[in-house]
Amino acid sequence: MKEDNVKTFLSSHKETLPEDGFNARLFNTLDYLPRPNPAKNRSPLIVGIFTGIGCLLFVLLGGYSVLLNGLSTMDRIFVDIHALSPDILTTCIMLALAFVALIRFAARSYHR
Amino acid sequence: MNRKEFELQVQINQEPLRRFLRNLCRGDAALADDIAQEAFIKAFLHLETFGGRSSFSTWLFRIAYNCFCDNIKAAERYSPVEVESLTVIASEKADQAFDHQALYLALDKLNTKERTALLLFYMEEKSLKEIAVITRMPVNTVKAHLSRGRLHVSEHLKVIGHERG
Repeated sequence: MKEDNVKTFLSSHKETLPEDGFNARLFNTLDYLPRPNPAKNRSPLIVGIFTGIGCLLFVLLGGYSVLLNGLSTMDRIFVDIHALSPDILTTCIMLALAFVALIRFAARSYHR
Repeated sequence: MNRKEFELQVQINQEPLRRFLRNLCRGDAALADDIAQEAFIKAFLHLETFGGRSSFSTWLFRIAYNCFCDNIKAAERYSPVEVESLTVIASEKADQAFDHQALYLALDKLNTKERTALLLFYMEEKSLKEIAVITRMPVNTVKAHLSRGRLHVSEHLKVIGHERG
């Protein structure tokens, strides 16, 4: 009841404002302003930098051998969960991240 | 967004934005229009920062609300005497706009956050989520301000005999 009263009161006082040259005054002012900068999409640069850093770390820390080792021994965890070694765990995480990134990229490309 | 598209957005949004600011300024049409102009100019100059995560209207209301808050802060900081005289002017203007006198008097009973939440929710028909974006408050805080604002307006309506039911 209280909400209804307030709603009725406020909506009954909703006024329609005449334009009164507001737009013309604003557009005249805009004529004297510098043109706004076009939107800059920095995401390719950021993605490129982080991909480069990732690749560098991958090579420097011997990620290739860890990944191969992890992939070749991954089937063991289906037999015995205790066989889960850091190599396999790292491989699983990296694969999961790669899939997430791929799905996100596909979803964004589809929406565009 | 180019200049033509921006001009179209101005035509669409100028009335709700000016009405919101006028009610927020308790009837001071000149001050409200000045803040609206400032908000549109700021929006135009920073068009590249509009990412499209919210609607253009919500983004614009957010800029306008920030301009309003800056205006209040500046008025309080630099001229405390003028703030009082400004309130008198607003009341006189409210007298002139007789139809809206009751509204401005009711809004006078609320603090800025309650007034903002109530006006955006009931008069400009914004959702709680949009109000949260505009005012940079969590949704639950907006709900609390709405609830308190409703209570204060309801009490005022009871006092002036506007209460029904």
